[in-house]
Amino acid sequence: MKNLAWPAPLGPVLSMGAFFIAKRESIQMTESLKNIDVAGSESARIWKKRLTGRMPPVWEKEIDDYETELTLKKQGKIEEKVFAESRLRRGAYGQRYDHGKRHDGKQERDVGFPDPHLTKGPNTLWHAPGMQRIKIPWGGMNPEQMEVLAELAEEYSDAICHVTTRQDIQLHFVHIEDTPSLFRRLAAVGITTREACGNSVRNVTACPYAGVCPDETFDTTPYADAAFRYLLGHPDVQDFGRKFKIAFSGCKDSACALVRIHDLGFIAAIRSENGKTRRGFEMYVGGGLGAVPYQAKLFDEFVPEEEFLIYAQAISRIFARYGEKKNRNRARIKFLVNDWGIEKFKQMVLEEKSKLKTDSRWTDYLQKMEQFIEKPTKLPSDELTVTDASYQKWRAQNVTAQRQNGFFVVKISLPLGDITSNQMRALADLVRKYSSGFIRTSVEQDLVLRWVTGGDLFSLYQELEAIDLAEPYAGSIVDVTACPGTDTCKLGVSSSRGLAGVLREHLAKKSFEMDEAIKNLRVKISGCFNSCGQQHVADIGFYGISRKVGAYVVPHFQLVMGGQTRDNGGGYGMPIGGIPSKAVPKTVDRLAEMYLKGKQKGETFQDYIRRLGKVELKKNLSDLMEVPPYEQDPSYYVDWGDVREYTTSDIGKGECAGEIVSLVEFGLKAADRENFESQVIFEKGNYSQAAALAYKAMVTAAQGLIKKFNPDVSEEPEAVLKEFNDRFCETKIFYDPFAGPKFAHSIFAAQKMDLTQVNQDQTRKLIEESSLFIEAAYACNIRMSMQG
Amino acid sequence: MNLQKINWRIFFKDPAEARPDDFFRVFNTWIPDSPEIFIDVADYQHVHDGPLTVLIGHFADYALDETDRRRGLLYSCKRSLEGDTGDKIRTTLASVLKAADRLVKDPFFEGRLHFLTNELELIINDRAIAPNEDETFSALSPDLNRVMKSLYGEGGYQFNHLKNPKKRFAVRIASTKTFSLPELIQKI
Ligand code: HEM
Ligand code: SF4
Repeated sequence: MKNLAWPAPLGPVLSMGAFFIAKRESIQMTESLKNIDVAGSESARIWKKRLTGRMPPVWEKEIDDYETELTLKKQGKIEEKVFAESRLRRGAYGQRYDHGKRHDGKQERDVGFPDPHLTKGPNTLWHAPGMQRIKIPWGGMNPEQMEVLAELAEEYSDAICHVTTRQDIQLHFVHIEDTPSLFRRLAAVGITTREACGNSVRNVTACPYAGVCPDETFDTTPYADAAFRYLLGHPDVQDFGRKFKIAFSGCKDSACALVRIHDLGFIAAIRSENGKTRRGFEMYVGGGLGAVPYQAKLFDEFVPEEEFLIYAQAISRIFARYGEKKNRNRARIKFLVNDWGIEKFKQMVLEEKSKLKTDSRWTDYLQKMEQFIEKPTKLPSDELTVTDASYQKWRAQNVTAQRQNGFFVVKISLPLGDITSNQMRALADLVRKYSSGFIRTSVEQDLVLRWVTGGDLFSLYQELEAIDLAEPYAGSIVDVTACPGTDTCKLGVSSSRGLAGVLREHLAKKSFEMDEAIKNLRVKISGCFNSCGQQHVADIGFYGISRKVGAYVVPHFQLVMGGQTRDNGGGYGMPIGGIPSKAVPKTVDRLAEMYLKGKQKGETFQDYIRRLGKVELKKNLSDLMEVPPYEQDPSYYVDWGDVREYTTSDIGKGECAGEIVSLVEFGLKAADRENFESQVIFEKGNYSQAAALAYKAMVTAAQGLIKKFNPDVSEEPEAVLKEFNDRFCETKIFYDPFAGPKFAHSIFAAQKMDLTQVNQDQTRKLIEESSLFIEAAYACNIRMSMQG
Repeated sequence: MNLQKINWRIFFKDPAEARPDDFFRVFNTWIPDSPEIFIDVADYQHVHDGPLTVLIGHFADYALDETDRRRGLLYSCKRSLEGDTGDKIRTTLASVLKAADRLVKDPFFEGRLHFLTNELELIINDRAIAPNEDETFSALSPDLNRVMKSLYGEGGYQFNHLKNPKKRFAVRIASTKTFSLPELIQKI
């Protein structure tokens, strides 16, 4: 595995920096630009000098180009949007408050950043700190890389490394001028941030147990690595309308890689041909979460190993050519696959594949497979008999046997995916001492050590405990997954991390008395409908929403039930209802109690929830969905992990538009109800009736909004839609600040559908869109009342 | 040496009294109407051996911090400092002392917070400018000495260069004399 720290030379890479500069004739590449010193800091100069020649040459050139662009942007010589995409393609994201404003619970205030005219993208101030995503292909890191990450977190961030839901590492509060040094220091240990964000191929993920899992068909690590290297910076992945995510799994049934939620996914498969075993993949395409989730479709049951990169390239070209570009809400490949149908998509890909010019790199990697075979540094050994009760708890929850006798996988549960620089450094030493010299990140935001011998388990436990990394919760209900949410994400509606922290603490206290079936449920939380926390594939999922209660806006989470992590994320959950943030811990308790009391013999939690059905479920939770009046319990009006009142009470409070608002509210509530009923009918298998009701719910919500201006609005759907278009769409009042006209479009699309002829899939989508439309109507109402 | 990214730590007498939730609340009150640019408060009380609650600023961060298992107030200067080395040491040290004094006097804590004023830690949060080596210590000592002399008096203090090569350059300063925070602020 030694070579992995220093990546093999990369193929031809389109240099975005050079491209933009070439296009701008007015800018001459002068000597001074080549030696640009953007941060003006001595530190940046030292790193540049010290590391030049110590990075892969292609990466070094890219970072130099990026640094030049940074300087040009600071001088106002690069367009806003162009620089924003360029920085995103290097993983440098915006962060909450980067437009220079923050609400302190009473009023919105200027943060007061210096040079407010200086920006690093549309509406993004230069000096506002940002998030840096760092690509960790297949989640693999060696100790040197871990130490550099720890150092970068200290020097450029706040000494916290955050593991994401796609096996990356993120640093927050990073100043844009520190990014070139940060990139150079990473590149010098074989890590790139290229295409960690932006419209391109994101981190290639894989099971963290690849190579040691007893259930896998074969080790997918070399293939995931080959995909990462081949596609990184490839010209065919530079012109996507949206991001593209790839995952590899060693087996079909487990939850470790979640292939079915991905744009392109590979599940290891073998075939016998003429007495020989051939390796290949079951290939899936067109999955994705987000506001409108799709399960990936099976493209081919067996793509041989020599051809999988050719397919990946052909699919990339088709996506770049035919994928939506203008409307970013329909730009993921899932929409293309869905619009065309898998058969047409397949035909187009096969045609494209036959036209591709041969590239030796399609199969070169097969000669380098050896370097990925991790070898233990110690001989296998038996476990010691240890009676220590804490050790036994940890052993039972966090340790599993490897395929290789005498070796074990040790999982480290990271609270909220966070680890401090000191812990990361100490852990790097333990990786050297106890494993084969590698650690992996997981989609559960945890870390995984492999090749630990039985004889070492207890001493490793003691050393992990000494650095507070031996919590016995890996893979349990306590090990909650959460996106960044309102802590740092610009789009966050409710505090996913705040809630996750509270839930973790709450559930940890009870975890040892819990029934086994409850203990191993998965909870996943997103701060908004974008689903970065992957709540669709959780046993109990939540995503952030807000609700207006009287004159206040109250943080809520939509409860999502019935999702499936197993089978590579094989089933998506459906929304049940909005729960006030502060009532979520009680809701989780209630769900557990209901199951324990009501389950039949041998019934799993998922089966119980299915048997109970949505109506019963909602009925059992209805008291928790109520928000007590402010005077009775003001804590409901402040989110978790915050001390500010959730939103502007003073604006809503003194308003005399109360009556009209309440008419609107009434309409929205009715829409909510109709949407819920449509789900119940859907479950009974009556699709056209369910679809009709889902559409009606959208019309009711639109009608509700119109009532703000015209209480005598028509009851005729056609007339409602026309008035809705005039009042809310032409004027853009209904348009979401981030998603734009996306939700408005869905009602007009539904209007054109023949609802008598819908199938299960179309109905499910319509119900989903109807929920989102209603959510958008709530949000629109909140915006209007704030302005009014 | 163009010294930058100066950090200071000052420790609590009774660490159990310095609770993350309290700091989260108090730091939030520092944001509005502050002459300094403060952006947000980050909560990291779920992790160990690092920051617990951070008031994120533009020029500097202030944190309730437990790095190396000692709870203290961390001041972390992030932007470029002007002046000579002595000036930079003096201004940053004054900032952490004033912040500590402000916390002590905050009515929210009802007089429960106390700092150990006879011990300070200086960290240079930049491995390029200040590698953790003897040379850095030698280069910095004369200026650091001058500042400490004005604070604790001739011979009233000792330096301990923390030489862990994997960690940032750091010096612990221990004084034989104890002064109150306002006294130290005045002396500096
Ligand atoms: C329209 C905007 C966005 C959409 C639709 C979106 C959607 C998603 C989805 C569906 C996932 C992950 C699930 C998966 O495929 O495995 C994801 C990952 C993630 N998202 Fe977002 N997201 C958006 C914006 C943001 C923003 C603004 C942030 C915060 C700064 C953010 C933070 C994350 C993180 C941390 C991950 C794990 C990522 C990784 O390592 O690649 N997302 N996003
Ligand atoms: S789910 Fe929403 S709040 Fe969470 S990171 Fe994604 S966009 Fe932000």
